[in-house]
Amino acid sequence: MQRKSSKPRDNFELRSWYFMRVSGALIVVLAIIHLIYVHYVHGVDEISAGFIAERWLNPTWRIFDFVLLTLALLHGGNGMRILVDDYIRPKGWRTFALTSLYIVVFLLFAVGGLVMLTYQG
Amino acid sequence: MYRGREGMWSWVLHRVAGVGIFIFLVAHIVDTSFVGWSADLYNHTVALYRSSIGRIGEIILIGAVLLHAFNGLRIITIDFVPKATRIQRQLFYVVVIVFLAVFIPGAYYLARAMF
Repeated sequence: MQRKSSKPRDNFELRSWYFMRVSGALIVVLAIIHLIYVHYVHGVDEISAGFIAERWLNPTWRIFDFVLLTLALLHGGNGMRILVDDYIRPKGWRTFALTSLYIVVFLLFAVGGLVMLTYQG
Repeated sequence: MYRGREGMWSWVLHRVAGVGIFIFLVAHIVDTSFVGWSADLYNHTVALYRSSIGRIGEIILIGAVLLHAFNGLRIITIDFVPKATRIQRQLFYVVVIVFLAVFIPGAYYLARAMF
């Protein structure tokens, strides 16, 4: 993108940089709790629809999962956006990749969020 | 060709692990949302995680998450603590040591389920 002025129009990339650090620090805590609880306290042998039904009886776990879903999608989605900007040079392919990325992130947030907030067991 | 040292390798590892985690995140949100559709569909899907490939994938995933997490904390430290920038190389070795100290016992515990 060519601009006449050397002054950036907004500080989006600065906010993106800051967001990656803040969300990253939060995700370290949430993801490690998630991994210890699901993979070590319980383990894949115990995971079933019944396990989820029981876990989501507790609203704290629903909120925990929703916050982790949101932060992970935004952090991961923004990371992928940075990689697309770095590695996909042709303009058409870059637009295609970014559009696909944003659609996938939005759909995952909508479907994942809807299921975990409305699930009845 | 630019051949960096620890800084470049931590940067490459961070990107590769990040992409791997993102791909798994996509699959994981899709598989979890199946539970809102049908308990049977969900149970059949998570059974894939109990196959040998699923269990190896679980160990690789945990390795990628730990590496990305610990190296991410290193990046935050060198970005926000001015003096830490000068010891970023040493901090990378701290990341590797802490990673191995957590990952090896964690992977061993999960690998036992395969035998």
